[in-house]
Amino acid sequence: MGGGGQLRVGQLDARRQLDVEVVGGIEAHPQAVRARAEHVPAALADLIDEVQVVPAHLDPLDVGGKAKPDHRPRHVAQLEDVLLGDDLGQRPVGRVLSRHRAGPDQLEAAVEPDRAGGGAGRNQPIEPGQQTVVVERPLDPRVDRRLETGDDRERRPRLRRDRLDPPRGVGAEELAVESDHLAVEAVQRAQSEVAVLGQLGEAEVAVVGALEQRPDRRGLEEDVRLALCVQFLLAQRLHVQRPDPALVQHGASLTGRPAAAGRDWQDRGVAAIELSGVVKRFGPITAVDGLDLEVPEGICLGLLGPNGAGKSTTMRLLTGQALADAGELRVLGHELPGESKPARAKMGVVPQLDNLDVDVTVEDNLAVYARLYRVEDVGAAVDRALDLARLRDRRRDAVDELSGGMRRRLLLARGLVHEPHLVLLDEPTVGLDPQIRTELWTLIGQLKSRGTTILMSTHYIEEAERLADEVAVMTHGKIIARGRPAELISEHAGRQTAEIYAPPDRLVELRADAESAGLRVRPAGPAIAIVGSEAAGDGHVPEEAVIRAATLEDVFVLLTGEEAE
Amino acid sequence: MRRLEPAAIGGVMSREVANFRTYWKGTTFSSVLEPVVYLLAFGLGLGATLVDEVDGVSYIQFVGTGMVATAVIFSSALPSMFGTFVKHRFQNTYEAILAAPVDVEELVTAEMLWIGLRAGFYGCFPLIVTFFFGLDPTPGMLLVPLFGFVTALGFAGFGVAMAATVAKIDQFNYVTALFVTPLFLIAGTFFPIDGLPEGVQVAAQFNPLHQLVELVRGGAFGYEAIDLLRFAGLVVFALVMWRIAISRMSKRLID
Repeated sequence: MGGGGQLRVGQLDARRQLDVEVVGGIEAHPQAVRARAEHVPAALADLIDEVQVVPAHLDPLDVGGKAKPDHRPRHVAQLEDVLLGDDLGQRPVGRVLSRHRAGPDQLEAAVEPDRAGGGAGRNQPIEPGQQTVVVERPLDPRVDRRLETGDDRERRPRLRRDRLDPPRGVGAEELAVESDHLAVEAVQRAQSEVAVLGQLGEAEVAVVGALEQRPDRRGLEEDVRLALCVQFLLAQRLHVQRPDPALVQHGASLTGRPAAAGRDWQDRGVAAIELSGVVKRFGPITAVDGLDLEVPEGICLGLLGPNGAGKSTTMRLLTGQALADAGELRVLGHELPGESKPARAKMGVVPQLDNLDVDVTVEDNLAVYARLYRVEDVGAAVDRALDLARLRDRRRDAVDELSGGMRRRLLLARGLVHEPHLVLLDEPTVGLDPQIRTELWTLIGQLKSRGTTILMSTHYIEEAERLADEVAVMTHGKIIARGRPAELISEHAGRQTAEIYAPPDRLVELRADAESAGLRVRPAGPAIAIVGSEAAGDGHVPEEAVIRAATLEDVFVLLTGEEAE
Repeated sequence: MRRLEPAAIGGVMSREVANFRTYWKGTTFSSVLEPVVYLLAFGLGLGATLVDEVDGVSYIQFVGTGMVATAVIFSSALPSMFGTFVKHRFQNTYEAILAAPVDVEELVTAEMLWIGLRAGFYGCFPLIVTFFFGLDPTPGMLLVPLFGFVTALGFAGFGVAMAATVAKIDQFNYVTALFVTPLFLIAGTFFPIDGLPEGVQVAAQFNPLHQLVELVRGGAFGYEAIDLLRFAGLVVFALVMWRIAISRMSKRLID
């Protein structure tokens, strides 16, 4: 046990509050966490006025409030979690958070490579420079307001990740790849956070706008910065309601880049899935009606559609459990249904319904599927899957004894036990509570960052916005629109949507008025939503309307109709 | 790719083994206790008061050897029917298995093989229990697990086919009343079939359980030439049921 976490502090401004966070490669373990707490450099400890160590296995948003002790406002903890993530490969374990008002000299002196080892046997060495995050952020909300103008870049929250600037010599390349993972994680967390906390306010939109306008292609660091800005603003408790599609899209395009594979996700080669003119009838019902669908390798395609649109039938066609009446199907280069078996061998399926063997242990569940998928080293595959599902400690427990979230993670890991090239996720989070859903999204995000091709059917718009590089909207057995979420939104819904809450009679009136002006209106529960309201002339959007950014939901309802089938 | 790949069949069977490890105690317990209870009830009760011996064999040994067939059908047809139905309809297990490189044919074959092996094994229990009631072990009995296995394969296939046919689990009541109970009673387990009306006797010849009973008694008291034919009949029964099960299940599982 050894190695040293490293703290590096950038330009320091004594007038600002500074958060220093140390992440080490120690697994979440009470003893390990205690050990870390003890090894905060003594000089630094003198400067800080609060230290918090939180085991990383706690849920990222700390919805259950289990991250004790937490002496600080909840939003600060959330910010950290976003930053640090819970990378499964190398799990950050806890974090030490300090605040101080010391000058730069004092802090430089205090922060030395932390060579202290943890106590518990489970600890892993901390690679020099790895997983060390130093965040400097301004405290004064008024400073952040200036971000809206985009002219004060210096005062933007700043993230320094050591490994963006890796040490020279051996391993530099690997370190860079690792840091990409970390950044991808951070952005994913940011997205989860934004969605959970609510909609973006004006200030966030402005931040996103400012960053979007940068002339050059934003790098990873910039993406993370963007995520952080949003996080920060959220933490300032600005009025927020819903994720901004621009941010979500932005994050998706970032996370869609398979960092580990060193591949540009836009560099499309062979299609993993090619369907053309596929028809599937069940008696008088045509479930899939001339479906054309191409999923390039390395992307996550969200198949979005209402119930009964033909999503599940499409999934069954791909696994050979339904045979098409017409059309051509090709999966990973194999013609279906004739070569369905070799295609299935390279494909992982995560079903909508939990069909784990409940009396059987966690590891046996995985081992059975490793054998079914003909994995050569079953033991190694099981260990890998256990790590992925974070269930190493529970390997000998029966599935029955697991919590709902653990079961879902296991179900996902079971579908990945053979490291498939292509993964079909059939409504991966249907009927799950927000915590479990966020957890699964994180796992799926990791899968994406490894470059695995994903076809995910869902009727949760949020899920598609969050995870999908591209979305295909399906209804009545056909794809009726396809593109990146942001493209779909701007193409079909415009920029803004005005929502009006009013008594039903008034809504009818307003709707008629807006429609007579050529505006598109959709019902939105107790309200109506005027889609593309930026194009509306004076007087058609009443003053009481709440203006928000257009979302994929607007697109979805416009394209698939108002009425549920 | 071959049609029946050992890797696929082995994989499906390994799932059964993993599950079996969680419930083998109960199954084994009842497999031992049931023949004991039957032998005590029939052998001692009926044997002591009404029947001394049948065809020169003490009644308790007559019943004990016959009960191999009872054990085989109850540990093959019923688990196969209910197990298949539950895995298919309630647990969606087959959906996950078929998403792996496993075809319906391999899935059904594996399920039948597993039940066949299990029932062949548990089918020996009544025989072993009967040893304690004075039956002498003979070398011929070494074939009993094989007879049990082949018969159980057939009934496992029957169970799979029924599970793929019924719409609701309650409908197994019809299957049990129409097929399982009559087959089990007119097998010559508790009474010899030669006393029955001629029509029933002819029908009993088509009862695989009756053939099994005769084979087990052959093992215990001496084989006859006709036993080869009986065994061939059981093999045919298993093969036919195997194909029926595959075709019924394919209809169910593949749209």
